[in-house]
Amino acid sequence: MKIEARGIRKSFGTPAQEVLHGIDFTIESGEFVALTGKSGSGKSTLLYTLSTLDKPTNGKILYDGEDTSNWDVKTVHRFRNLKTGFVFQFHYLLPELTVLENVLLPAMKTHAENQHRDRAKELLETFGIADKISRLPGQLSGGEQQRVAIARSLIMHPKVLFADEPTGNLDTQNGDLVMDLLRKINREEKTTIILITHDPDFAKQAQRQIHLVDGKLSRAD
Amino acid sequence: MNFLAIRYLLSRKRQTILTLIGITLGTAGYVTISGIMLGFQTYLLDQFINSDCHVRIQARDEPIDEKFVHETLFDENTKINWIAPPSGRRGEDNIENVPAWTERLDRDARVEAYALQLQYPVLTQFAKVTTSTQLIGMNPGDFLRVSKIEPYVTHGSFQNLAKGAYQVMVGEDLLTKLGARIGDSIQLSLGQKGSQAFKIIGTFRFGMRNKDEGTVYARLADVQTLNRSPSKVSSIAVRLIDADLSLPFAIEAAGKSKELVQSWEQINESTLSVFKTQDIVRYSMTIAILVVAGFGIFNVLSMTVSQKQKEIAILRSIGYEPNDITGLFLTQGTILGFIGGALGLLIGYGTCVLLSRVEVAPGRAMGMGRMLIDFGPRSYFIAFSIAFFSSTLSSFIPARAAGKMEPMDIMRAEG
Repeated sequence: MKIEARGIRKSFGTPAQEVLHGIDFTIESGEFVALTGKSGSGKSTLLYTLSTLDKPTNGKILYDGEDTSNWDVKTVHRFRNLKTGFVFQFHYLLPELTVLENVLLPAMKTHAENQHRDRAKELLETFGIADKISRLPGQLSGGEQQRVAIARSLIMHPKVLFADEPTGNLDTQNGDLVMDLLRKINREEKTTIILITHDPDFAKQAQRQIHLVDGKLSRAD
Repeated sequence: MNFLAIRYLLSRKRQTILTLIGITLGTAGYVTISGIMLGFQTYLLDQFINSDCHVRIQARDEPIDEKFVHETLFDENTKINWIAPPSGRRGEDNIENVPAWTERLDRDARVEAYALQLQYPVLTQFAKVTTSTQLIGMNPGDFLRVSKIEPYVTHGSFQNLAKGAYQVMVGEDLLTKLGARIGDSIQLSLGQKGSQAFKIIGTFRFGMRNKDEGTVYARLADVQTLNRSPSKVSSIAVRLIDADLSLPFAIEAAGKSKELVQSWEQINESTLSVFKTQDIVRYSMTIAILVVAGFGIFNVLSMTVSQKQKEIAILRSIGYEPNDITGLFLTQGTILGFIGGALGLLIGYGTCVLLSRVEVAPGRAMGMGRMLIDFGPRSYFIAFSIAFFSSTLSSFIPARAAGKMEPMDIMRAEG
C-alpha cells in the first residue's frame, strides 16, 4: 500500500502552534521506514497523522492515491481494522482479557475471531509465547506483553504497521527480539512498516530513514 | 462488545455487586410494597364491585325549604310572604317512579342486571340481646345477579330466601353478637310500625366488621310487609356488563332524573383517594431507591470510563467506532439493570409468598385472615421496566462521553 504525505501541517492549541511545517514524502508498498528525530520534533504527530488517528490541519494523506480526508467515520474505522496495525511504546493490552483474546480483539470487531484463531496461535508460536496463551497481561513480562501487542497488530494481515517506539520500554534483549520480529514481518508478509525509534542501531535496520527536525523533513534517505 | 462488557463487570466485582444490590433492593421493594398495597386494594375493590352493585339509584336526600315548597306548590309568579319559612327534610326516601326506572334499565344494553331494594335500620333482638342493624330487602334471584356475593356466604344460600317467608341471611359477627345459631328466629323491629320474627337460614362473612355485624338480608316482600309499604323501593342496585362504565353511566343517569345516581367509585370516593395516596407513596419510595442505584451506576461507570481511557484509545485505533465504545459502557448498565431487575423480581416474589402466609386477623376476610398479596404481572412488569430503564439511562451519559473520546486526545493526555 503506497502512502503519500502532501504538504502536511499540524497545529495545536490557541494561539495555534505549528508542530509539522508542510511535510511531503512517499512510502512505497512493502517498505520498512524509520521515523527519527529528537523529542518534540513531531515524529509521533506525523505517525498518528499518517495512520488516520489524527487529522492534519492542512495537507493530504493518500493511500494508493485515495485521499483519507474524504473518508467517513465508518470507512476510517474499517481501514484501521482491516488495513493497519498499531504497536505502542506502552503495550496497552486490555488487562481483563487473556493473551489470545487480546490478540483476537481486532477480529472481534467483525465477529471473525473464530476465523482468525489459528492465525493468532501461529503468531504467538512464532513470537515464542504460545505457552502463555491463557494468561492475563499482568502475568507477563514487559517484553512478552509487547510481543502480544505486535501479534494483535498483525492478526488482520495489515498492509501497514505503525510502531511508536515499540522498543522504548524494553531491555536490549527484548528490543532486539521485537526488531527481529518486525523485520521478519516486513520480509515475509510484505507489510509496510513505519517505525519511530530513538535508537540509531534500530533505525539503521530500516530500509529508509525519515528524519525530522523541528517539524520539518531534514533527511529522507 | 457484550463479551468485553461482561469482562469489565467481572473485573470489578465489588462495585458490580454493590450496584446490583441497589437495583435488586429497589425492584424487590417495589414488588413487595405493590404486592401488599395492591392485595389490599384488590380485596377492597372486589368488595366494592362484587359484594355490592356497580351503580346505585336512590331517593335524593333533599331538604325542604322555601324554594322547594314554592316550586312544588305554587307557580313562579305567585308571591308568598312566609310567617315562618318552612324547613325540614322529606320523611320518605323511596324512589317515586320505579316502573319508569325498570323500563329504562330493561332497555339499556349496558345493564347486566338490577335489583330493587328496600333498606331500613331495624332493631334486632335475640333472647335478651338487642342491636341495631340494617335490614335489606331484595329479590334473591335479582340480587345474586347484581352482587357476586356467593363467595362470601359461609353457610346456607341467598337463593333459599325465596323459598319461604320471613327468613334472613345474617353476618357471622352478628350471629356471634346475638348468641344465636342458624335455625334460630330473631325479632326485627321497626318501632311503632311493629316487629316480626325472622328465621336465620344462613350466614356470610365479608371480612368487614361493620357489614358482618350490622347487615341482615331478607326477601323484599317481607321487608315491605314489615314496613307496611307493599310497593316501596328505597334503592335500585344496578350491575353493568362493563364495570369500568359505571361512572359515565351514573353521570348520564343522574342528569336525566331527580334521584341520586352514584357509581361505586363515587360511593367509595374517600377510600379510592386513599388508594391514590398509597400509589404515590409506592412509586415515590421505589423511584427514590432506584435513583440512588442509578447514581451508583452513573458513578461507577464514570469512574470506569476515566480509568479505561487507554483501552478506549486502543479499541479506537484497531477499528472500534465511537458507537461501539458507547455500546460497551451502555451494555454494562443494561446488564446490571437486567440482572438486578430479574433478581429483584425473584426476591420480591419470594417475600410476597412469605408475607401471604402471615396471619394478620385469624379467620377474617377473604384470605382467611392472612395478608392479601397481589401477584398480578403488572407490578412485576413495572418493577423490571423501572430497574432496566433507570440503569440504562444512568449509564447513557458516561457511555456517550466514552464514545466521544478521541484516541489522540487520550494519548496526548497520557503523555
